[in-house]
Amino acid sequence: MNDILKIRDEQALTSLPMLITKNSFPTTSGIDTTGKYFLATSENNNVNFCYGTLDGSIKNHLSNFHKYISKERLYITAISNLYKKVDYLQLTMQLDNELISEDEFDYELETFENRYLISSNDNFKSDEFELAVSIANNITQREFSTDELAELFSIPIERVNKLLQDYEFKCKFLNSNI
Amino acid sequence: MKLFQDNTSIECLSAEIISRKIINSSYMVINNVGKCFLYKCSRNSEAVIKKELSPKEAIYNQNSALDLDDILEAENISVAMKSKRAPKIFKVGAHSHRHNAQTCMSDNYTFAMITKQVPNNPFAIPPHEIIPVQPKEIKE
Repeated sequence: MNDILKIRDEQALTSLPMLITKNSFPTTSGIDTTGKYFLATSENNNVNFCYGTLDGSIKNHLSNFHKYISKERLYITAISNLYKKVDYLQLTMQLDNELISEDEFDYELETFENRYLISSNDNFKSDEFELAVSIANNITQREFSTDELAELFSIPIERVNKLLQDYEFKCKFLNSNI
Repeated sequence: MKLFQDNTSIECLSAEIISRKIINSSYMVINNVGKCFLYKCSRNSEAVIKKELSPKEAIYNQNSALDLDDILEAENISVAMKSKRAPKIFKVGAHSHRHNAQTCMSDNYTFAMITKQVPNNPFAIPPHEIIPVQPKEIKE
């Protein structure tokens, strides 16, 4: 009985859609080469997987689903970057208060670099930037500057202004066509 | 040369930063430069080049000012310094009129950029363009 369960588990693991096993995010969707769509969500080690042809009503659901997945990624990036920032500032505060030595500070930073270092995502796309702006606009108590957006969403600093200009141009174009 | 428009920047090996509020921000990877310590200066901020790059070539933004004593003057300035640790920040008395200010001196590669120019300056429109230098392999 246990062996059967084991085999079933292994099959379940190997039959997971590629994007889910590779991707650390719990949801994914896409359109395959034949034009069919797939949606997959995972929760508590269970995977719900849908696969079928695309019609009009599903198309809207799919685009919303895509948007939520991208937003989820941005939220996760923002939260992890904020924690990196807080951890780094706590470490510098400890150094300033002479609770740790400079050698200990360097050792901590070199050994646990991922905990403190904010990376920049060179593949950041303009549609992701639109979602980032919508997230930032929802945080009403703060006006974000371009460098703050770059830090929060791992956008390369040199690209933020260009992305912002493109976004403003797009907004003006949409407003003029309404 | 005095620079006061949005997105204008300086690059140097040492810069003097003066502002009424200097806040440590984060530790971030910056293309072409590597791991940098970032801090933000707000309210009457200035950054002056004290030591030029050698060779005198922009590493990050092709439009950066590189000459000795080039100065950024703005409301907010964002500074990236190729260092792990925050520089020591000192107080300066009566820097702008009777306002106290804070100052620090960088001793490594420094990139400073205006993120918010002084308001109501008709000569400071439009903002400068950032032209990134082509990415190279980072040598640590």
